[in-house]
Amino acid sequence: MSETALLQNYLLVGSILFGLGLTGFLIRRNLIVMFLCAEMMLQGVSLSLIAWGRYHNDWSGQMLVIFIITVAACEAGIALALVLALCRKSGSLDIVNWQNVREEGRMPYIDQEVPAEAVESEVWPTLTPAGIEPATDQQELYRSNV
Amino acid sequence: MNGCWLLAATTDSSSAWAELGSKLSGTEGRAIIGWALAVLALWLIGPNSSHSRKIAGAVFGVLGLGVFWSFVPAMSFLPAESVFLLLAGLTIFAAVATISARSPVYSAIWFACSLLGTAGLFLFQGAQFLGIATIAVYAGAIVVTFLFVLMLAQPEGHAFFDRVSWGKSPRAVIPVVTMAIVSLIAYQFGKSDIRNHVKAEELVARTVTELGGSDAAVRKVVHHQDGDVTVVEVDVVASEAALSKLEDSKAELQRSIGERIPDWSKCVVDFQTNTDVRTADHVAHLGGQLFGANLIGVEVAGCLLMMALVGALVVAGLDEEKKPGATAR
Amino acid sequence: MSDNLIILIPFFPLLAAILIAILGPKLLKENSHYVTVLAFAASFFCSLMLFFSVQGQVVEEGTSFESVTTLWTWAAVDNAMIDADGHSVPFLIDVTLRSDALTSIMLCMVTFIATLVAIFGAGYMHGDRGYWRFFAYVSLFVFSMTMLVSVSNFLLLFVFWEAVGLCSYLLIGFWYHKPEASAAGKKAFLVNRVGDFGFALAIFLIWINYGTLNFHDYVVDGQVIIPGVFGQMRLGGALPYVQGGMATAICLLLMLGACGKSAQFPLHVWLPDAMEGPTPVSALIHAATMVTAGVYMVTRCTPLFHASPDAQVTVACIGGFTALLAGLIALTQHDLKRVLAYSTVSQLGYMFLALGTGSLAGIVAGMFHLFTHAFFKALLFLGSGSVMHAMGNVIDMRRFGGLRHLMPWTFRTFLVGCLALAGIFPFAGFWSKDAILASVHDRAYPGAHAHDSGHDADHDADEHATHSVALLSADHAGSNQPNAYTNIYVWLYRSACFTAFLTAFYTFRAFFLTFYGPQVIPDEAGHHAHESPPMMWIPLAILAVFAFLIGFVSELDHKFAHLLTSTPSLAFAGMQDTMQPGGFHMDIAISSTIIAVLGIALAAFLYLGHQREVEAISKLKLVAPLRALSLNKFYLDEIYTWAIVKPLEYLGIIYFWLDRWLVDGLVNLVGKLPVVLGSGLRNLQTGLLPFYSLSMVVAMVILLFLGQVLWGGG
Repeated sequence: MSETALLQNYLLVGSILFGLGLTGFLIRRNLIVMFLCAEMMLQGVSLSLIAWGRYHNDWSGQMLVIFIITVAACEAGIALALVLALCRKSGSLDIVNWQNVREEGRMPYIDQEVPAEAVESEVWPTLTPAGIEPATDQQELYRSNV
Repeated sequence: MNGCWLLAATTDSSSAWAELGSKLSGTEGRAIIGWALAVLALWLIGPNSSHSRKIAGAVFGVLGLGVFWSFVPAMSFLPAESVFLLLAGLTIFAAVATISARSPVYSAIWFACSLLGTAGLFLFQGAQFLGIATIAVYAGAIVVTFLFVLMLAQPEGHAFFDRVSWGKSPRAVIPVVTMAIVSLIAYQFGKSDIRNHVKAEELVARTVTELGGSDAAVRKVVHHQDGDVTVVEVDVVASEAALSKLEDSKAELQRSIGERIPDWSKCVVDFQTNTDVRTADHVAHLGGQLFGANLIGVEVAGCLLMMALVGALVVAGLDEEKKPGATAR
Repeated sequence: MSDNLIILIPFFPLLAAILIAILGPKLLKENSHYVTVLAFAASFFCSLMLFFSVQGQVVEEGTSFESVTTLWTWAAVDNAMIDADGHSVPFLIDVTLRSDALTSIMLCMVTFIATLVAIFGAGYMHGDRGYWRFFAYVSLFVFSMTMLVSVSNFLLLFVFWEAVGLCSYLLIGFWYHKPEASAAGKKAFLVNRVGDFGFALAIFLIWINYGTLNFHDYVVDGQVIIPGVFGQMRLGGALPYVQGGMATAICLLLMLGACGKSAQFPLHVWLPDAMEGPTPVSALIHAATMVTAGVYMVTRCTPLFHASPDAQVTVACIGGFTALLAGLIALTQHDLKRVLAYSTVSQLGYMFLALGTGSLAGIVAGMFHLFTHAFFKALLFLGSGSVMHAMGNVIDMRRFGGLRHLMPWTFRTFLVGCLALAGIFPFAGFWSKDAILASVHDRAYPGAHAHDSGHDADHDADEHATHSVALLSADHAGSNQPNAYTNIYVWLYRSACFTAFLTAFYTFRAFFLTFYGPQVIPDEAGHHAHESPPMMWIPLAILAVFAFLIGFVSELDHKFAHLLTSTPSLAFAGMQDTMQPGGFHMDIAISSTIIAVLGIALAAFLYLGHQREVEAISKLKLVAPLRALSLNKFYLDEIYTWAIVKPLEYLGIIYFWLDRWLVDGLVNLVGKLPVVLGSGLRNLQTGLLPFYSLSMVVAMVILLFLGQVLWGGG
């Protein structure tokens, strides 16, 4: 199996993961989802590092990934605390709520129209009816347990 | 203008089509096509898209991935190839689902799936410890924390801001930008002299396996041009006997490489022995590295974690209880 | 010893200036004058010692004496110029001080007057807000002036020429909150610029033609490396002086500089306005010392002028004309200080007239007049300052009068000054003015006094005179002094005689108006209307003694002439050979005294008692316009205003608008660019975090792409 081919495949996966994470980070407005996307970008980078480490027969790649995971954990802790604080202040996880630090006189971004939720086929799982409906004792139903 | 173009197209249509085809199948053309397909896919797979759009997006996405994969060489070992593709596919599919899920809870779950895929890819690379650590730390701890926070912060369910993006047309613009990065990286692979290299690598590997049997394994092959001579440096893990055998068959190997690869007609093979990262006691070695060369880093990371813990407590605001109803907007 | 002395003389005033500048505002305050007076006195003492030392050396060494002290090398450039012979000439400026007769006389005069003026100023300036500032400036001035007369290099001469100009500017504008004073300061500075421009050009020409700016020979191990402009090599005839048009150009440009500093026509207009400064300053700078710098410089450059008879006659004409013009203007001025100022201009004109004769007698006479004039003009100015002090700063003669009983000491000393200025025997002015008239007369009527001169020589049994008589009979052909301009000198002589009459008249007019007639005291005087304190009148008395005696003493045995002619610049063959030194001509002395007495008598007739005659004469149809002409200073200020100031002003306005709209417009355009750009970029500050991150990513992608395109990836 070709090491070079392996490396390049991994780099491509890593870059796609990175690109998707970036896309999500930029498109989504939910603070938590944005944060997930940032973590996804880190994953993409981790993949590349591991692949390079193997290719160069070197431990540094894996070392770096370990530290990335550590820093990501710290980041997650603080960021989630921040998200929580922000959410308490504004009442929602929407990042667009936080545009106070803008040029004076410039109007804030306001959603013009919010599209309705796309219709999902809300088909709930159902069980086939079986057996006889049991008789219910109304008194039993409302009797106090005490 | 249009008339002229039509005329030209009709009179010389066959050659024009051929030219167009060669252009499109060239490196630049494929990069652009892959880019366009990926952008289209991401545009279609929005959080608020209908099922049909999502399916169309998925089709385009798969096509785009195919185009991108045409830039990198195949691994030429089918089981490995299929396992890798499975894991990569899972990872990428889960990633796309993460960014396009309408509900953040689903996003988090899909992200966990993506992490599983990544962990598999780590294992595939031989990074056993990291694979497990990713599952344990990320999927186990971080994602669960996310879910907790989601429960704390967003009890009312679907929010409008999960359906729309911000600004005027970021959904169209952002994929263009981000996929440009992917496309540029893929284009880099396509441009390089990689296929010859992979071919040579396979030749060397085959030769080494034939001659050395289980005593020898190719670690890595690198090459560089020295004038018109191509120097192929082979990094092998081999016993003394196997190595001397390999040295004897060097001329043969050089000749066969020269025959198989026209660009490398003059070729010099150079064997080097080395130790492997993928040793049997991998985790022990990793630990040795971590607490040896990187000990200070570990200590610093520990401090960082400690501070992050304290910081998170401060930021989350334990005394927030004293100010009930602190809603700014 | 003279080395140390020549360094100490400027050192004391400089030390005083620095001390007062640093300690004055907080520590010295009202005691600043002690420092200045002590420094000046020390300086004067050193000057006297230097003077006697030089005199001794002159007696020992014969006709020519100089001593050069090099302090340090200021500038040295090798191969600064390739001269006509293909030798490379270094540009070497040493800070050198010289002591010779001319310098030592000037130093004595400057430091003596400065000491007395400083004592007077301590009384005069008492209670002024800028008391310490005044003494700092005066000290700085005396430092610059002593340096000016003792440096041995044209460039350094120019530096201190500017330095005294600066001090003059600072002191004229001393009361800067008074608009007239600051305007006068600016006027003095700007008019002087014209002259300094000429002087600078002259220095450039000298450098080009002589390859050095040093006065002295640059000697290493007894070998002359660079012959100086007035060095022994050139003066001894080993090297020629530049002749012809170039010589004339150099001299006329030097003369332009001298005109600026010494207030000669057409650059005399600043001096009367300079009277806005404190009166001690007028006495020191604008009467006795700084304004004579031009005379000093022309005297120092005698060998250069000697090479150009055209330039000499120009100097004489300018001097004679200025003397006449200023005398005419002084006739009708009402301001006591202005009368004295015009008188100064007139007397300086006299000096230049004497210098312009080109004869040794003339130059000695000019310097002699400079010397005596310093005493009696300082006396007159200080006297007028005393009057001004008593009259509450009123100086208009129409508003006071009859002060002789009120201010007896001022009256007496002023009288001595007036008599000296008018040239009455035996006051100082008589001797020097007579010497000037005699020298001009000699030039106008060559040979007329051959007999007198011979008589003189017999009388004095002076070896110098004998020498010159012997040479007088020598052939004139060797000299380049043709008698082509004799006619001009005849007219100049007549005009000088007339000016002498005018001088006597206007001097005594001012004197009578101030001290005679009914006692009138202006309201501003208040309780000040009394004799000035001793601190002020004692310097007056000292000066009066000198104004009375100095001429007589100096003229004994031709002491002054004998000493002065030992100056290297004057003691060279071409000069010594052709011209006799000033002789005492009885006929000229008598006629000039008669002229002066006539002037005094006319003044007494018109201005003593009732002034009916004055009114009557001024109403005469013929006199009235002339009187207006004189009163308005021949409208010269107005002519300058319309011919030079106004056009420049309009040009300035044009440039102002050009600068405002074109240059500033361009600059503002550059300034506006970021504003305009910013107002566009400002909209990018949306406050939307995703937008910011998107911008970041876009930039990153662009960089990646550029990297790909430009460097083929990597």
